[in-house]
Amino acid sequence: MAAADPVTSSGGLIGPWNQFWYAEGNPLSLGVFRALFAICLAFELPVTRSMSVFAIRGGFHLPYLSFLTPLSPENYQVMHDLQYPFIVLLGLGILPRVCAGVLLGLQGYIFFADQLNFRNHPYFFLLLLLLLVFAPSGKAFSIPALFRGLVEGSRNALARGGVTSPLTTQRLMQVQVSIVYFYAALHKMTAQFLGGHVLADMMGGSVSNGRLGHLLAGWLSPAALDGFRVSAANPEFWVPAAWITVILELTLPFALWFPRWRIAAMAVGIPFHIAIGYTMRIEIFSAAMIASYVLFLDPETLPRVWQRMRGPLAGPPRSARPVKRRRGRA
Amino acid sequence: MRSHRNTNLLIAGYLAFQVLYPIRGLVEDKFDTWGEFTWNMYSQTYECRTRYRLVAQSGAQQDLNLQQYFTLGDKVGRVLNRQDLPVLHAFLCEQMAREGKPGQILARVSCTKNKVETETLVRENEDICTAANHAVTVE
Repeated sequence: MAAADPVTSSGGLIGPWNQFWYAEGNPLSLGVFRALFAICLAFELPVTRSMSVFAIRGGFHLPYLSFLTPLSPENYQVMHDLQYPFIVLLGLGILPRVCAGVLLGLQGYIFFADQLNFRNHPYFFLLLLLLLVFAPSGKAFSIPALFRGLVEGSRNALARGGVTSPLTTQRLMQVQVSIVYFYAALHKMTAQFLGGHVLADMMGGSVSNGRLGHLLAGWLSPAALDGFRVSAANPEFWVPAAWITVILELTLPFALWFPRWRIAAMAVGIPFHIAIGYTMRIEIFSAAMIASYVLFLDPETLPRVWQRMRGPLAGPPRSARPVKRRRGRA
Repeated sequence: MRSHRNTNLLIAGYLAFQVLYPIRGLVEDKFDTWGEFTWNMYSQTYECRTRYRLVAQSGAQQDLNLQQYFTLGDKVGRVLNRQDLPVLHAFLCEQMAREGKPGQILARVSCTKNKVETETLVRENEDICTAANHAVTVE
């Protein structure tokens, strides 16, 4: 992490605070996350469209904010259709702050129009959109960055080597991800969850005729599969999975911050989310959580990887660059 | 440092909400509030048995299907907690008036958390339209 802010020399708690929030670094991680998050948004949109219909007039309403009046069905559809071009622009890094703001407004209206629309996943996405409104996420891995780099003669225009920006919003996103993990774990620290009762109930459908059942049917004999289903109906069967879930959700929000444990945390966290996403059919949220791991990388890690793959980062224009420096060392 | 003051306030405000608000979900019971914004994802099960019955002045009884008033029928369970039930009951009373169906509405709502704890959320023999707190029990 490149700590460039002069105020970091302040004493007491202010110094570490400023060093943490106002450090500067290469924005490539943020740019890559923005692009990955836009893909997640595009896949989440049809799900939200089908599940947020309490924003439409008619039936029982329980609004968060009374001035957010229910929409007509036509306007409801329009508010979803409108989001696609902004998601594309966000993914490409073209006016990302404006796009995040528009998406925040459109999704926020529908979300807050009725409490029955609440789901943790769109809420998480809204928070990330809010933070992207303030984030310099278009400075790297974006079409404008590509053009700027090309104009400057860089061979690695997308990576924007040498460019730094404040990591404040990136830090907030990291903290947000950690908070999600941490509280998800705290809520699960109950006798019922750790005793396997909750997972036995939630996974019952997946085991009997859902994805887990189909997956196992390819590996197990019919008799063994029946035996598995009988075992899985018993809460005790899920006790190890429950404990592993809680331990991971308590560990990941801390381990991801420390370079020594980061790779191990990612190596465990990614399959953890893939397993949850597949068996419980929460693929998009799982993908977004995996995508967020890129934010935890040291800001110079991705540019370094990029440099190894593509050659030296942006420096002087190609014509002015000494020949020996055209192939930078990793 | 001076230039960071507003940013610091925004960061502190954001963190305060995100750190403190979810505590609500840890101290409040599912029977009392749904617990949104607290990241209580997949941490508990919650199932309810309901019966809403309209008793006309003639004594004729008709069971009400709550799902018809919800755009997504399976979302009924979202409001089956002590915080939101009074709002649902007020809606049902107004809806019966709109449909020209006068009478009392008697309800039975029994919810079970994590397959273990069960609580009754509505006083069964009271009209949800005229009873205190719309006949919703207090914790």
